[in-house]
Amino acid sequence: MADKPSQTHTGPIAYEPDQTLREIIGKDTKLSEIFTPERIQACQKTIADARDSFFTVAEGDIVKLEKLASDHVMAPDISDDIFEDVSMLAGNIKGHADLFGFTLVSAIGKHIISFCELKVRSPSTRFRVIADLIKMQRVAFNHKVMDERGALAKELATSLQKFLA
Amino acid sequence: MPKIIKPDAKLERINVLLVNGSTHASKLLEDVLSGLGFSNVQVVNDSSDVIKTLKRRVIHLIVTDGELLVRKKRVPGMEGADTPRPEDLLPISGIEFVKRLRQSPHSPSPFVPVMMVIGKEDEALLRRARDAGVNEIIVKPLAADDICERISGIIDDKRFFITAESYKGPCRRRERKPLPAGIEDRRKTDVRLVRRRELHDNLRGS
Repeated sequence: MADKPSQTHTGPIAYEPDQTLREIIGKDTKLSEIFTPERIQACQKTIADARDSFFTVAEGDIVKLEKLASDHVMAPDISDDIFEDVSMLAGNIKGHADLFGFTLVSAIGKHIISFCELKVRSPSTRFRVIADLIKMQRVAFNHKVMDERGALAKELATSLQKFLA
Repeated sequence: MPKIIKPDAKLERINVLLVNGSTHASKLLEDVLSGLGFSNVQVVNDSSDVIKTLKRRVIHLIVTDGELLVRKKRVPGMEGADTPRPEDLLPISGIEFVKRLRQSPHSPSPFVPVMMVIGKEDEALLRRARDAGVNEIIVKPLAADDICERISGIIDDKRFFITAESYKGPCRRRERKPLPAGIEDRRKTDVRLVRRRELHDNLRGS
């Protein structure tokens, strides 16, 4: 596989399609012989099992978020490190929820991350909003809200936009 | 008892790098790729590890997340600097990561195929991923048959890899449609075609 483009020509360059992956698996190998229905079915089951256990597996992250919220919500100032910790945990939940289309949980995670990065309000104000969003996330977890059509996530986004306006 | 699916011998030599800031999401994607037969899947949750990995070993396929934060701090390698600049201390999205992978002169692997997992059918996000130089996109929620289809698309990708001033990545035209009347085909005049043999000769010489 190529590692560096040519530096000699200044205009656009079109490199021939890279066939490395095809060469590795064999030019005559049919992909249907590798990705068999049995394999695809087993993978779909792996995804379904992970989806079923999402709220249990992600529980650890929300417990950590709740601890951070209760420890710092009354603090007069919040350090960037705390916001970063919150953002990482919220991102972990968001990325996980996204895989299964759990729109509300994903949206709450996204809004928590946004408020961690938003610089238009004071850190303590932002953190109070984050603490409320974490409470909302807890409710979504307790009721295992999947919101696959995204209606609740849209409603939440509208409310937050009004708050920021 | 769950049935154990063995790795596929033909996929054993393919090194896959899975980049995802969410540990749970990484674990699931790793399980899915292993289930499909890939046995060499390396997972990294921080972009500094991506650069280190790309410098150390040949990676044939990167699977990354589009939206999720990939930490940029402690990643001087991509800029060619010894110490991170202040702006390097911010998180970056997977899309920005791919753009840098393709366009940075210090990128260790600008040509490596990239498959991106994105959150929903968001046209703007899809366009940004395409313009960053992503080869194939998987839209969540995950589905095994869709993942297979995308991987197959990368294996048999017949598109040229374009490097131009504003874009580096696989040709964004998937279909070879004729151009509208009156539009000059720049591909016949301005574009230099590099054959694979010539590319490899250049690389050996550089």
